[in-house]
Amino acid sequence: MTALLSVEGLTVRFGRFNVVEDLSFSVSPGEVLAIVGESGSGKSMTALALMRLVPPPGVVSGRVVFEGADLLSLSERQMRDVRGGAMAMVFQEPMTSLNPVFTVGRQIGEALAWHRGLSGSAARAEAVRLLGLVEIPNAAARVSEYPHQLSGGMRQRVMIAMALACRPRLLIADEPTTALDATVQAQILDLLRRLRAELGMAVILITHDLGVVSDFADRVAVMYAARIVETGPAEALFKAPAHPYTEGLLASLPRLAETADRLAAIPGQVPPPFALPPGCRFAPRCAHAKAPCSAALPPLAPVAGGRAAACIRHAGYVVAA
Amino acid sequence: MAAEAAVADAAPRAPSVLARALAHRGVLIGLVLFGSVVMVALSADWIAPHDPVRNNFRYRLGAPNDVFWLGTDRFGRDVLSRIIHGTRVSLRIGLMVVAATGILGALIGAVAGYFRALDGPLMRVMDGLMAFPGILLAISLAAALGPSETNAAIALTVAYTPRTARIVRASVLVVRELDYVEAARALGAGHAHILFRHILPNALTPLVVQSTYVFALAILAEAVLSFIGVGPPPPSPSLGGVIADGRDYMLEAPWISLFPGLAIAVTVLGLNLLGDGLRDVLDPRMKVEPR
Repeated sequence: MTALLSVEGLTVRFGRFNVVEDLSFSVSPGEVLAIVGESGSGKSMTALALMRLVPPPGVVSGRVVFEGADLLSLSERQMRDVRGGAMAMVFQEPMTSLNPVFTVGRQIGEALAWHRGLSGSAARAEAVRLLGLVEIPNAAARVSEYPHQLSGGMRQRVMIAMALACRPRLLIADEPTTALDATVQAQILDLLRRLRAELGMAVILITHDLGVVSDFADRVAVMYAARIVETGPAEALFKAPAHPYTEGLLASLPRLAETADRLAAIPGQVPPPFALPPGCRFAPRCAHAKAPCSAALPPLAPVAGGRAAACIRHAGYVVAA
Repeated sequence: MAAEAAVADAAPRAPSVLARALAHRGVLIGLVLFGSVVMVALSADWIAPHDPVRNNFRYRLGAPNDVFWLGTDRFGRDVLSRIIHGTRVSLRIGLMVVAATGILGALIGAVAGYFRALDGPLMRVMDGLMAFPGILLAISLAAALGPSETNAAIALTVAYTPRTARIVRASVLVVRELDYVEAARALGAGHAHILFRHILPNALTPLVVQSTYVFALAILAEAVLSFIGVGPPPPSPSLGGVIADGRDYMLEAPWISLFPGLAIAVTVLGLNLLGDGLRDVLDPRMKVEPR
């Protein structure tokens, strides 16, 4: 199957520093790819770069081929047709992502007007249908309400409805559940899962929550300090993480079955882009770190089970020292 | 799901802006003062006891009496009628200036705040205009354009637009970074749409308050222009013009200048109270207790 989206060497540079560096991955039609990482690992910037929404003075380079066209070389005009059309995005903050002065229906209607040429009562009817699709009760009445009249979960549903308005082939969800209550999080994830199955769209799910990933994603890419450190099918990756960072992330998940007093944590913090350690960026926090780790940046190398990891322990290195 | 909806419905609605504004004492007093002036201006043709431009040399410089309640000027014209009609001219100029500075200021401020490349050039021009004291700029422009109502309005618009543009720009700079602007962009919105539908409507609150001040300033400045003779030409009565008429008779007939001065004071006081009150009510950072 040809890839819906294929990204090669994507780099986002702010001044002298790369906040996203040499990212390569692909997404097949209907597939769910989760991009996982801590705050500051560059995952949200990756999402913005795919939509070409990186704020100035950020500079994006590499190749982002979506449905055969390199998005980075499209004109702004053509890119506008892609955004919200074939490729849509759901943001992290439902509380502030809706314009307070317009009704929900009008905001959904905007996307319908641009990409599908619907207006007036046709747009309104479609907005009601979309609100029903995202399981908002009493959609016909809700469509004329203002954002402040809706709860956080409701607003996120509206955001999803807006994103789905033009039947995108790829939905980018940037931490769609982070700002929501735990119970509402589960509802929104169920909704996304159901919509993906019904509409057959591909999803890039950006999150720091591995729990969210495990039962939704087909494949996972783990980001650390602007680079992908491990990628592979979700199941295999969870069963036997190949990179010590993935291992650490999994170990830090709280488990009900265990009665440990403390949660396992990875010591230290993600290094900021202006203070990267030499060689492997995870080495200073890594329990397995050896002298060669700090010598050179390990490349993403294939590991058993269709996976790849950027750790010299898998690159067949010979310990010289 | 149902519970979630119910909670959203049960949340107490904050009182509307209008209700909060009417509960504010300043807004209320300001509305009453300014409202009465507007009523007077609107009904000038019916409530003015005499013709405001009819000379009556038999009663030159007459003190207030039961026929001419506020006295007469040097041509025997009724001061009260001239004030009543004068409010009309003053308010008309004020309204023109508010509308023009509002539209121009919003446009310039929005464009400067949104398009970074235009911010520098546009705001430097505005700064250049602001370097002159507003009233001085208005006087020189009005003098250059010639005395007329429209020219006075144009001069005052040029003088007060920079401030308005600056306020709108500041507000646009804040709103342009909000999440829903990013969200609109992600849905494929173009620049014009984002600026005029998503940013500007959410950035205009300070303009409402600013407009009441510009209105008051314009009325005051019109009086200055008329007083020094570059405002609307005689015989059309404007409040400043009536004050100017009494300039040479301050000792013998102080009523000619005194009463239009009071009328201006009431109008400006009303507008300022209104503006202060609206700022209190509209500014989310100020917690307004009904006073």
